[in-house]
Order: sequence, then C-alpha cells, then structure tokens
Amino acid sequence: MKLTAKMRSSKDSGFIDSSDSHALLCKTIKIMKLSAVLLLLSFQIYAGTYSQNVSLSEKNVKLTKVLDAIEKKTGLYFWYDQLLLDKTEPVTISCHNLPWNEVLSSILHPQGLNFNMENGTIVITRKPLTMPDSLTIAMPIPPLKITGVVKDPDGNPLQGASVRIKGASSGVVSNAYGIFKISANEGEVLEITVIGYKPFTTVIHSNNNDLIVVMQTDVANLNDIVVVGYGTQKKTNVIGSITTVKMDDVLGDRPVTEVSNLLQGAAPGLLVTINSGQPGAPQSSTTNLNIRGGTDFTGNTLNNSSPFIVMDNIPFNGSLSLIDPSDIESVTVLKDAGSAAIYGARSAFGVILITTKKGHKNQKAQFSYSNNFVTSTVAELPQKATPTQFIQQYIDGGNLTYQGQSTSIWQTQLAAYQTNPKSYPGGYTIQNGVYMQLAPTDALKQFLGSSANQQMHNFSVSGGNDKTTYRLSFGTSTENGIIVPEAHQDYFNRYNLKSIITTDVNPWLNLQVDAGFNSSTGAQPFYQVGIASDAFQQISNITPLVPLDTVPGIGVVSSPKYWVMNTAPINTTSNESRITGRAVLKPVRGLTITGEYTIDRFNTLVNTYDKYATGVTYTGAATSVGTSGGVYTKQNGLTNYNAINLFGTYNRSFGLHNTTLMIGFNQEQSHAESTTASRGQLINPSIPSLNTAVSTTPTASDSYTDYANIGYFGRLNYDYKNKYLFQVNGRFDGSSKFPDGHRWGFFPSASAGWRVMEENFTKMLKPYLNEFKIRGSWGNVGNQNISAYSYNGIMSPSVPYWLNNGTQVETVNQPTQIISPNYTWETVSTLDFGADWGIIKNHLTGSFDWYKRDTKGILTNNAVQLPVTLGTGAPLVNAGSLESKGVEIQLNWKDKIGKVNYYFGINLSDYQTVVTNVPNATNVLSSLYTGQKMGNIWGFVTDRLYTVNDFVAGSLDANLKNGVLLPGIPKTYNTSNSSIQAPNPGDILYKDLDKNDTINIGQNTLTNHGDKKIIGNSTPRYQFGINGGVSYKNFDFSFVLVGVGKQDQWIANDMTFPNYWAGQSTLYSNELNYWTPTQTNAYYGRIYTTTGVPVGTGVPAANQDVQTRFLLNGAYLRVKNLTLRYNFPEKVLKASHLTKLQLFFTMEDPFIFDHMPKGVYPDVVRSGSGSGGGQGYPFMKKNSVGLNLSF
Amino acid sequence: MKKYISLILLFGMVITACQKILNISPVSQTTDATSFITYQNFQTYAWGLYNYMDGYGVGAAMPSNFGSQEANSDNIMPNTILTGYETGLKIAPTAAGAATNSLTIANWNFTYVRSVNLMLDHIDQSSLAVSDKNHWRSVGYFFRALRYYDLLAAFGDVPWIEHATTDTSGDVLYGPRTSRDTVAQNILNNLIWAEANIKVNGDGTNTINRNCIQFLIARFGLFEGTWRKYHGLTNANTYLNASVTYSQKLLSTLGSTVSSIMSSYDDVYNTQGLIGKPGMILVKQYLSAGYTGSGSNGSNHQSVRYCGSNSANWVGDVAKNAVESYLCTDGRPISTSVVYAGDDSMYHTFRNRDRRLYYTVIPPYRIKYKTPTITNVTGASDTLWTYDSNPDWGSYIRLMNDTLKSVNKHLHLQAFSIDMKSGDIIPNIPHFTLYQNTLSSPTGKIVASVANYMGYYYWKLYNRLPLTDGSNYGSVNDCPLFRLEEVMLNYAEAQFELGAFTQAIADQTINVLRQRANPTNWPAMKMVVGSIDANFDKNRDQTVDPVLWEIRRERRIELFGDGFRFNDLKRWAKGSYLINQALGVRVNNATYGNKLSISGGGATGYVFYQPAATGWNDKYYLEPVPIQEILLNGNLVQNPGY
Repeated sequence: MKLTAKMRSSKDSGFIDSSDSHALLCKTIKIMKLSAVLLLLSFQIYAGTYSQNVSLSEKNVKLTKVLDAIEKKTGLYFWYDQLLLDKTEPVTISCHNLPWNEVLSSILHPQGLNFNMENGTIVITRKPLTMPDSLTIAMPIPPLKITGVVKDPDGNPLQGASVRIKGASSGVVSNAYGIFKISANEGEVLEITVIGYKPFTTVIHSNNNDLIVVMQTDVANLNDIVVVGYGTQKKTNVIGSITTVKMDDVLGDRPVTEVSNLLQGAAPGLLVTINSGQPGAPQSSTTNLNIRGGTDFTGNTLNNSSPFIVMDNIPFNGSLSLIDPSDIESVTVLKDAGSAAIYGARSAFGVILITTKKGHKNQKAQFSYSNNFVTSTVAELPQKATPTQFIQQYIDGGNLTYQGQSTSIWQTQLAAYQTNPKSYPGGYTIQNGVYMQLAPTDALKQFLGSSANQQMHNFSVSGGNDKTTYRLSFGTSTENGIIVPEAHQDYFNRYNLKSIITTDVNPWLNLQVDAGFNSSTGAQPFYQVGIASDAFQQISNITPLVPLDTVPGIGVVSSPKYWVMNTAPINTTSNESRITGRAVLKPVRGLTITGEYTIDRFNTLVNTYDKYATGVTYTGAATSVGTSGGVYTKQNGLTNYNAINLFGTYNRSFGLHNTTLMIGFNQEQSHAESTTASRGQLINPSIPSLNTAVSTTPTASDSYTDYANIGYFGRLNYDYKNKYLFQVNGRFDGSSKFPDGHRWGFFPSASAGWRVMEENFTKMLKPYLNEFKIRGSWGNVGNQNISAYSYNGIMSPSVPYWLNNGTQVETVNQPTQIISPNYTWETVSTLDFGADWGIIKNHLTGSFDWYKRDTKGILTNNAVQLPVTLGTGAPLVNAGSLESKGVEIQLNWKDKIGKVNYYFGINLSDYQTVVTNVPNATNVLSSLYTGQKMGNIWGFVTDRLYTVNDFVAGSLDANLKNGVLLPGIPKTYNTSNSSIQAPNPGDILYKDLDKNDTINIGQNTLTNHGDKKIIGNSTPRYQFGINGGVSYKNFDFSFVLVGVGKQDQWIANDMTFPNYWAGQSTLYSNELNYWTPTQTNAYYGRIYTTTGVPVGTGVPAANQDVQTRFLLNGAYLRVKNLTLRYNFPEKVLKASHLTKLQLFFTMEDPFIFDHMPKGVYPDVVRSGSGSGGGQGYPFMKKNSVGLNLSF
Repeated sequence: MKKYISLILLFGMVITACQKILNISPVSQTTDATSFITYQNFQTYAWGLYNYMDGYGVGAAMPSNFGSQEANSDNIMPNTILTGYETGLKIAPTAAGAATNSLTIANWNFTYVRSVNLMLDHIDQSSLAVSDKNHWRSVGYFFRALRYYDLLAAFGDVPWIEHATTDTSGDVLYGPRTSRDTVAQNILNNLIWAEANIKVNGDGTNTINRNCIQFLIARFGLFEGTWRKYHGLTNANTYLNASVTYSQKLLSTLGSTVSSIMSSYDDVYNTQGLIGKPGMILVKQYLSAGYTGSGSNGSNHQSVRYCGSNSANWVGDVAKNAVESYLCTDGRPISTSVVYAGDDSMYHTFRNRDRRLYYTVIPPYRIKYKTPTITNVTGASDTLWTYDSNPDWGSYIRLMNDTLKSVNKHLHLQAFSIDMKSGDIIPNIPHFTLYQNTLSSPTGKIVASVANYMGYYYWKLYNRLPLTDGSNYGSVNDCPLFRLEEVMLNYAEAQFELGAFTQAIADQTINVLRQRANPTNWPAMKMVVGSIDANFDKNRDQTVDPVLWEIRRERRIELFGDGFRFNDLKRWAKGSYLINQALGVRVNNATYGNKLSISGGGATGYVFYQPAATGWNDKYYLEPVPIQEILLNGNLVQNPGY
C-alpha cells in the first residue's frame, strides 16, 4: 500500500510508470556484473548508521526540506508519498542532539502522519483511518455522516475527487489519502467524479456510511496517462505529436485478427495500407505501416521507411500479425522528432509504441472470455463481358478463329444458344468436332468459394494483491481463405499465450517477468503464389468461353481450381517466444532505475512442395504444372534477438518548478540465419519431404544477417506550474551497419508547450474552452535502415547457365554495386507545431499538427546517375534530400441526448513530398529529379482517336490499316520499345505538345520531355478515418470508415483495357466501348488481337501508354466496420454471477465507394506488383457474431 | 552525490564494454578480397563468365541471337511489325539497356566488361604460379574480347575499359569513346597473347582452350577485316590475315574433310550430347531441369516448344528470298539450274534442292485426318492421319521419312507436347495463320499450331526429343557455339578477300559442307571455282564478285538461323538488302478462302504480310548511343545520323 501510493504519485507527475517494472534477467556475464553493481549501489544507500541523534533548527520550511536535512545528517533513508507531504503545513523545529525518532514524531504526528522502519528504510504513512481534524468540512449537520475512500483501480488513493450529493450545489473534495467526509440523507444519491475516471454514483443507505469507492478509468478522457519513450506522461503535459489509440476502442468486437488492420484510420498520420484480403495477409508484407508518408526516395526504395515498433520498451521485430490484439492495452504513435528521437537510430520515420495489458493491484481475479464467429464472403468481383461480346471483340480485332473454330461459327452458335438455351442442356455444342462452350464460364467465381469461416476465442484472467499483479491470456484465431475452400490450402491460424507477473520484492525493488509465445500457421495454394505470375492475374485473362469443368470426350479439364485441387500448398509456420525480465529499483526518492533484458526468438518454417500435376486442356492437349517429379523445399529461418535497456529517471520539484531527468542505455543484437534445402524427384507424392525425394542433386543454401546497435540517451523535462512545458532529448547512437569510423551519430531534439488555459487571463474562457495547448518541437533523428554488410563488396553465389560437361557448377557474381567507404547516417529532421484542445466540457476534443520533415543525406544508390561504363551499380552514398510537409487534424465529439450517448470522431491527414536534392545531373525523368513532387505521374495528353481522315485517301487497306498519314498528323511513339510507329485509324492520338509531328518523349528529361507532362499524382491525399457510435439503453452501435480524398492511379491491366494482352486476353463489361470502323467515337482505342503480340511490342502498347484519358480516380470511402451490440442488463448478470455479458453482430469491410470499374479496387494490388487494382486477393466482407463475458 | 557518481561510472563501464559488438562482418559470404586467391577461386568465378554465351537461350524466350540477327535481316520476316531498320524510323533509345548475351545487337552495357576486369585485376595479387596467372589472364582476355567484339560491331567506337572502374575513375566514366582502330587492335592483341599463353586444353572438356581462342580470332578477323574493307577503313588485311592464320591452325588441328564434322547437318542442331562430336569446338550444353532441382537455372531452353507452336515469342516466317538462295541439286542457283522446278507451288519450289533447305524450312505436304474432328490423342497422335489422294501431297513426307530417314524432321508435323507424341497433327504445309482450316476438310476442326503468315516455316530447331521440366516444356538439344563448319566459311571468305581463294581451299571448306549435306547428289553439287562466272547466278548482286557471291551464299545457308546474317550484311555494307519486301509462297488464294494478301493483288501470286519496307539508312550500320549516356557524359559523341 505504501509503495503503491508512491508509485501513483510518480505517475501523476510525469515520471516513469514504475508499475511497468520488470525483472532484470542476468543472461550474460556482463549483465551479471551490471546487476551486481546495482545491488551494491542499493545497499550503500541505506547501509549507513541511523541510530544517531539529530540537531536541527528550521523555521517555517517545507516538511520535505526538514526530512532532507535529517537524511543528510543521519544517513537515514525516507520513503514517502510525495503527495502526502505536499499537503502538509510548514514546519518549525529547533532541537539539539535528540534521538531521530523523537524528532520525527514531533514533526510528523501533528500533521497526521506516522512513520515506521522497514528493512532499514523509514516509511512515512498517514495515520490509520482516524480523520485529521483539519480535514473536516463545514456543512449543515445532516442525519448521516458518510466517510469514504476513493481509490484508483490499482488501489491507490485518489486525491481531489469531487464528492457531492446529486442536486446539491456544492460538495467536498477527497484529501491526499483519498478520504472524504460528507453528510447526506438516506436515499440521496452520492456522486463522485474525478477527471480521467468514469463518474461513480451510489444511493445512500444508513448502513453504508463507510464507503470504499474504486473509480474506473475513462479511456477517452483528456487526462489520460500516455506512454512515451521510456516512460509515461500525463496527456496534458505531452508536448510531442502523439496519438494514442486504446486497443479496446478500435478492436471492439471486430472480426479482425491483425493489429495493423485495426489501426487503419485510427490515428491521423499513421497510414496503414492493406492491399489484400488474404488471411494473414500481413505476413506476406502486403500490409504497410507508414507514419506521415513521403519517405520513399525511389519507387524501389532502399531505405525502409517503416516506423519503429516498440512493445513495452523493447523493439518488436516480428510481424505484427503475430500479436493478438486482445493483449494490447494501447498503441501510441510518436510522430514528431521531439517525441520519437529518444529511440534514436531506428525512429526516423516515427515510432509505434505498443503497451500490453497488465493486471492491477488489489483487484479480484477477473475472468474474461470473448469469441467471434465469422462468415466471410467475397466483395464485388470484376464482371466479364458476355460470350457474344467477347467473340465480337475477337472479330473486331481481326481474328478469324477462336479455339480452333472460326469466329463466325462462334457467333452463329452463340446466337442460337441465346435464342433457346434449353436446347443446349450442357451449355455447349460440338461443331466440326470442336467443343464449343456456349454458357458463360467464370474462372474467378469457380476459383473462389461462396464463403469462408473464421473463429476467434480469447480467454484471460487478471488481478493482483497489494504486492503482486498478474495477467494471463490465451487467444486463438482460425481464419480460412476463400480460394477453393474444399482444398483447404488457404488459411491462417494463430494462437497466443501471454503472461505478465509483477511483484514488489520490497519497497524499493519490483521484479517483473513478461513472457509471450505467439505461433501461427498458414497456407497458400502453390498455384496462387508458386507460379510465375500469380493466380489472380492469370485468372483475369481467362475468357468466358473457356470450359472449366467437364468436356465430353475429354473429361475433367484443367482450370485454376483444378490445379489448386491437384497441387500442394505452401505451408508457413512462425513461432515467436519473447521473454522480458525487468527490475525496477527506487533507491532514493524521485529516482527510478529500470533494467530490462529481452530475448526474442523468432522461427519460421516454410515448406513448399512444387508438386507435379498433369491435366488436359479443353482441346484435349496434355498439360501440367509444377516441376516434373516434384520438388520439395524446406526453408528454416531463425532470428535470435536480444536487447538490454538500462535507464534511470529522476524527478524533483522545486516549488512550482518540476523537472524530470532520464538517462539511459540501450543495446540490441540480432542474429538471423536461414537454411534452404530443396530436393526433386519425389517417390511418394503423398508424403512430401526431403527424405522421400530421391534426386541425387539436392540443393541447399544458407544466409546470415547480423547487426547490432548501441545507444545512449537522455531526456530532460521541465515545467513551470504545469503550464510552460519544455523537453530536450539527446541520443548518441552506434550502428554496425556503417563502416568503422562512420558509425556514431548524435541526434538532439527539443520541444516546448504552453497550456494556455492555465493562465489567469484565460480563466473566463475556461467554461467553454477547457483545455488549449500550443506546442512545438524540432529534432534530428538518424536512419540506418539499410541492409547489413552494405560496406562489404558481397559476391553472392549463383548457379550459372553453363553446365560444365554434364555437371552443375557454382560461381560467384561480381558485387552488385561499388562501395563508397564514407557513407554514414541519414538524418531526418522534423519541425512540428501543434495544438490540443478540449471545448465545451471536453465534449469536443481534438488536435492539430503541422509539420515539415527534411530527410537529408539519404542513403541511396538508386538515385545516383553514373554512366553505365561503370559496369555495376552506383555506390551507396549519402545523397539527396526530401522535404515533406503535412497537416493532421483530429476531432472527437462526445455527448448525450437524453438517454442516448453518442460519439463521433474524424481524423484527417495530408502530406506532400518534394525531392529537394538528388544527384540526377541530367534530370532524367526515369529517375528522381530535384524539385520533383513525389507521386507525379508523367504521361501523354489524350487528344482523340486517329480517324480515316488522317490518312492519305486510298492508302488504307481493306482492314483500315497500313495507311500513309497526312502531313501534319503526328506519328505514334511507343514508349515500351522506344520506337516510332505508323498508327492506324482508331489508335489513340496524343496531343503533340512540342509540335514536331511525332508523339515522343524527347530526351525524357525535365528540360526535354517531348509530349509528356505531369498529368496526375499518385500520392494519396486527405487520408481520413471516421468513427462514431451511439448507445441507448442496452444497445450500442458503432462504425468505422476510412478513405482517401484525392488520388490519381494509373492501372493498366485486363480490367482496364479491352484486350490488354492482344490476343491472349479477355474482355470485361466495362470495356465494350472500343473503336471499330462503325464505332469511331469510342472511349478505348483500336484493339489488336490478330498478332498475339504481348503488350509492349505493337501498337496496342502505344494505345495503353500512360495518358490522361484512362487515368483513374483513386479516391474512395471504405466502410471498415459496423457493429451492433447488446449488453445484458444487470439483473441477468447478477443472476448468472457475471460482471459483463455482451452479444454482438459486426460487419467488416461491407462496402466501398469508389470510382473504379467493377471489381477493381483502389486499395487492392496484385501481389508482387504495384500495377494496381483488380488482380489481387479480393477483400472479404465479414459478418460475425460473438459474445463477451467477464466474471 | 555518491550515488550519481556511481551511476555515471556504471554507464561508463557499459559504454566501454559494448562497443566491440558493432564490429560485424558477413558470415558465409565472399567478397572480392576472398574470391581470387586460389586456382579454384578463379575457376569458380570464371564459370559465371560463360553465361555470356547464350546458345539457344534460357527458358521461354527465343535465342537472343536469333531475334537480333535473323529477324532483323532478309532471312526471317518479323511477324509483329517491321523493325525500325526497315521502316526507317529507328531512333536512339533514351536509357541504356540491360545485360546482354553474345551476338545480340549489343546494348550500351559494360557490366560484363567489369565482371571480366574484376578477375583480371585480381590475378597479380593471387597466389597462382606464373603459368596459371597467364592462363587466367588468357581466359579473361578471351571473354572480354568476346564482349568487345559485340560492342564494336554495334557501336564502332566504344570506351575501352582495361580495369574495373570506380565512381572516381573520371577519365573512363566521363571520357570519350575509344576509336574503333584502337578497340579492334586491343581485341586482336589480347587474343593473340591469350592464344600463346592459355593452357592448350583449357580447364577440361568443353572449356575455353587454345582452339576456342583461335576460333575467335578467325571469326573476329573476318568480321573486322571485311568491315574495314567495305566501309573504307584501313588495315583490313591485318585482320583478314589473322583470320586466315588462325583458321589454318584450327583446320590443321581439327581436319578439313567430311569426317572432320558431324555426318548429319540436322544433328548439329538437334542432338542431346553434342560435346566431343566431330567439329565441335565449344558447345552450350542443356540438361533436364530435374537436374538442378529447381527448373529455373536455365539448364534447358524452349526452342522446340516455340518451333512447334505459333507463339508470338517466336518469329519463324522465312522469306522467299532466303528459300531461293538454296542451290539446286545440280550445284547451280535457281536462276540457272536445269533441275529447278519453278515456284508454281511450294511442292515445285522444294524439288531438287540443297537438303539443308528441308532441314530449315518445313517442306510442303497435305494429309487427311482419319476422323476430321480428332487432331490429337494423348501419346498417339501419330496414328490419326493418312495420305491424301494426290501422291504429290505426300511426296516430301516420303522423302523425309523413307528416303532421308530423318529422325527429327520426320513428317507429318506435330505440334509440341510434353512427350512430343500428343500434340495436334498439322494437316498441311503451308499452314496459314489467316486460314487455319484443314485443306482436306475445310469445315473440320481448325488446328492453330504451327501456322504462319507467309507459308515458309522455320523449323531447324524442331526435334522429337521429349520435353522436360513440366509446364516449362524444356528442350535439351545442345547448342553448337563454336564449330569447325564456321571456321571453314570464315577461312574461305577471308582467303577470297585476300585474293587467295582457290579450288583447293574450296575443297577444304565449302565442298566439305555441301557434301555432308547432300551425299547423294555428290559430286553434282560440288563447287567448281573455275566454272563460276558472271552468268552463274542471274540473280546475283552485280556489285559482288561471282565467286564471293557463292561463298556468301554458302555462309547464309550453312549458318541460316544461327545468328549471323544481320552482322554479315552490315560488314558487307549490304543493309540495302533489307528493303526488299518479304514475300512468301506462291499460292492460289482461292485455296485458302481468299483470306491471304497476294502481292500485286491477283488471284495467284506470292503471299505477303508486312508492307514493303520504306528504307534502309546507312546510319543503321552503327547503333545509336543511349541519349541519357550522352547527357551524363558530354564527351560521348552520338553516332552519325541519329
């Protein structure tokens, strides 16, 4: 109790949250030494003699000052609650050579304080529950005298709680011990409110005049404690650009297993891109987290601009998909350098702090269980054109045959089928021995099941007594994908086990063990990912006339579904064990030292069975997928990571001046290795393994990645009256990724804030504007996100395309780039101005940020232009700089109308990035150039289609081809093979901006770009998240929307161009308006199907060049979640001994509003390609029901 | 205060203890400091240099030399659009291209040069004996010369880079191009040095050895010598003499009779296990993919797949002009041969011709399906057809199958399939893309495979060896890279250009090749130098000496499809040959549903597909330098005309 009182107070004054205390695990000798020193240090502190007498003379001074004096003179060590002493009267004392305990009695007892000695420390406490007279409140004498204690959920007393009788105009305030005394009549309602906690009410009965009130935390309140780097702060005192997301708020009951998915739209400036609806998609890196964007230097960025993820102080290196969101208390996003810089080396692009849930002191064991049963269905799919339209397009493209049958016969038969489908019971006919599919087929629909299932269960128990807290949780989720469900090759399962136990060994030492195990298994069909181009892209080419099931005389024909059924999946298993030991020492008042050691072991195992499967096509030809004989591949990866944190925090107030100093040390070492073995010729395809493969030439390889970081950091906070707030950070970082001599960097930052509403002159506004804070920060952070060993000229082994007289040989390749010995840290400096406010009784809260981020000395080789005579890649150098400017706004409204409670929140962020410097001497547009706005799309301006009148009369042949252009009509340029071509009528004519009669790209430089210009920008602008909810009686409803306000996207694929792959493509219903001799006023240009030329070599490519006409609007609004919940009334709960029982129904990703063709999404991309929507794993609509219960 | 001092000391201890952990060097990875110590190291590294020799390519593409040298020439018509050389619309590319392989139209790319230089630069510091150092230097010189040969052929002047450059090697990176004279001289000098210093037998079977170096001198000498001669440069004879000298060395080592080369022309291209066969100096070997376990290491190619389909990745329309260049069995060109049957139909055209034509272009035939709607049966497509009524329509089937007993060029033709037994039977040749119907049963099932636009279908790489590697349809016929036949052709031509061509030389070279291809028409087809006069071929380019014309004809035929023609035309300064419109077989359009385009527009005549070329520009003899390279390096001067 005494100790927790102490801890509470330190929390309130912005110090390290010592309830985070963890034990220090002595893993290495070095650490052993360290802890030994720490222990020694602690012993020294109270090892002095304390049985001596005291002489002292002070007049009207603070009690603490007297205690300090006694401490100095005697070597005694005091342990007390700062708040307890803050409330004491000044002391006057004069004594000479009196025993110390007498002196203490004389100064403490009159103040209502007691003391006793525990383990050599003098602990000062309040006197047991006898009310000091000085706290009696003068009130009219009522019939009942109520006495009570107000506590927080951890059992710490709450001072300043407002206690009043409902309807009364005034009330009382609890004292430093949380004690209040109030008079009330029986039957009146007592109301207790504390900022940061939910109001508490109770009806007064004659027998409850001795109340113990435990206030429940109100998560959305402005006065929250927020987690910051290596500590916590009161939200009011935060002067960085920080957004905290309480996981329970965003998770709610959503059928989402993945943390980053939940964060989408939850925090302004945190940009979460999810490109796929695949189960466990984040493990395949289709989910991207980014803070404030604009960090990629090139399309294929060298520098990883992901934010730094820290879980309970320790960097988190695995995939976020491994974490169970139910175990997370809050996620804090540190956006500006002022708040992120304390993490130094890896925080350049922001920090995401994950804080996990813990038990609370003096809390009865609380059992919680929740589940969620989900049905997933595929959202909107692309719609193919009808068979008739498809064949017409083949004819229009000049093709005479399709599937070994003349297109005119196809036309006739399809028409006959349309007239009387019943006469074709199988939906096909056979003409000239050729099977002709007449009923349309849909390979994608066949490939995807109608629905898939998902289940989530989570069980936890937490609680604590006055020394120990605990929380244990177990969660599972099984999520099935939608690809050929009967094959069961598409799923992601996970289970998580986590426990955290803290204990006070004694008043100055708290030990903590935090252990978690995360395990996931997932599978993907080999056919989906193991083939050259992924399945969704392949399927998008399949025409509606390709039979997919059974063809008479041939039998079951091969189809994408067939291949999935007949091949083996790729199985991925990941296991992570992460154990942290922590020790929190409080050797002297105001000082907290935390030592922590974490070991994190991450294993992955990927089994790939490239199973050989044979089939027949609808023409009866033999076909196969996979490698003959089959190849089994096992890839085993291990990451062994350990980290040490050692930091101390000291806080001290001098009158109204409050200071906190934190200094620390951090060290990380990571060792990763993987082994891949592969062997062909499986003797028994049903038992795929390396052992059952008999090829005499198995292959094996390994790889290693090691890195280490060391950082020394410090932070000084100062505030005056909690009104003027200042903070400076410094961090000195070393990284193994840089060459010796260039390893160390120093990164400072500073912030300041002003709580305007604390001023006297703003008092009159206070009823309306409750809180208003202006803040600013500047900081410089280093970035070292480059691959390890970059300063070594690695020569990677490879197998050459040359066989040495029948044997396979190995070689090593020349280094892929030359090495510059001088590169070092890339620096990112951020200037941030912001404001936070609470208006109208904090109903409307919000914040605003403006920032400018300059990235300097960007470590890259992509942007460096060197002549190709170099013969290899340009060296990695600190070259180039970027500048991003952006704003972020967050607004939340919360109120009630009658019995209806409601809330509404919106957050919006926007940024633009400009290249401020890049070594692109020639300003070629194929690379970045100075002054370039990131995301710019260069393209042609579509003018119109060429018409017959553009050609010399009579020069066109019967097919309206091969004509001679009239003078003055520009020729066509084909960017994909850099050649000029003669166009045909119906081809797209671009605007000849440079008036040289040829559509061209000039030298493709900024000064000479021919007819290209900037036609759009792909940067997603005005990204927003909207959430809201209402509750009435036992029902509540909530929603989450996310979207992008403005974006241009260039998407070129089968769904956006008719016959995208000339002759090898299909047609979609949105692509019918293409040019034909009779449809000259068309949207799309002429189509070419006769040559069978892949895009890139013929005129079709010129028609598909990046241009204004087909630029798509990427703005969208996605409804992420709708939830309806029913809370069982208290009567029911009491009867069933439950504390909570909720039933809910939720819909995830039910709708999207966008400007794309059907089935093409602005936010789904084809895997392994940035080419845009429609060919990726579709998002799934998820409907779920479940329950939450606690007891 | 003590406490704080203790703490500070503590931090200090940690600081000093931990800095060492930042020293991390790569595990299991080699760097240039560790890659060039032993003989074994050099050999390992050098295997990577062999990648330059593309052979039949890797995986799904057609051989790169075929695309660049044949489809850009008068041999093969590109089936997509006319090339920039033919339309006169060729322009300089903006950016430099990617890595290259031998005999492609070289990109302005120096990656390979650097790869070789990296090895050369590390020889001196190695622990090798002097003779071993000389050996690896010779190997390096060979590969670098191979690359510079391509660069020289494409661009003329190119920067000569002697050592691996760094970003601070300003004089190389930002220097001017080295003159053609110097580059050519460097190539020749390097090769001559290498010839004297390389291990005679290289590093074992089918590795770079003295024969390979002699071969490259012979090839390069002829190229550079004739280029100089026909483009008005000096010193042509230096290179021609080198070609002659080293050709003679090789011919004396390897022989110059029919038994010095393989007995079948077709087997040169369609044999699995070519290493060690007569005349083979260097071979690119292919094996089934199961060998590597991954199927992606390029151990097989896909030529047979593309020959046996009509994929867009394959260009296979042989021009009439090329078909007509094959001699008749009386040893005379069609213009003066008495056995030439004319070209009323393909059956006529193919009568009494040099048999290499039959191995290169599918001979005409027409068969019937036993059941018009069944064109393939898994494992037994062979059994589905019978001869059609007219005996002529089966005449070439009988010739190929019964008389020549051809294994690979067995007729009927069957589309590719994994076992080469299950594909569609092609009903007739010519088989047009624009009329894929079966002639014997026009309303029957349509077979789309092995159809083209002009009728003459290139099939030199077609064979019936089963394909491997599952859906990749890999072929495993080895590719002859350096072979004695080419030495013979180089020798004959170089000797002629030096004025020393004689009947004896003809008998050592051209007559060996002709006899091998046409043993039953021997000696009717023998080249008799004395009898070749101005009237020997009425279709001769009048600016070319009649004997030289015949030597060049022999080269075109023997090396047809091997990736030489475009460079040959360029070195002879005969780019103008490209402007002839490519025509195909002579047909009666009514037979093909009047779907074909007939030159001149009549009912019968030669099929055409591409419009007439609009013009060859002499600037195309040299390729343009990428614009961005010129922008980056002001000392680079563009080739004239671009």
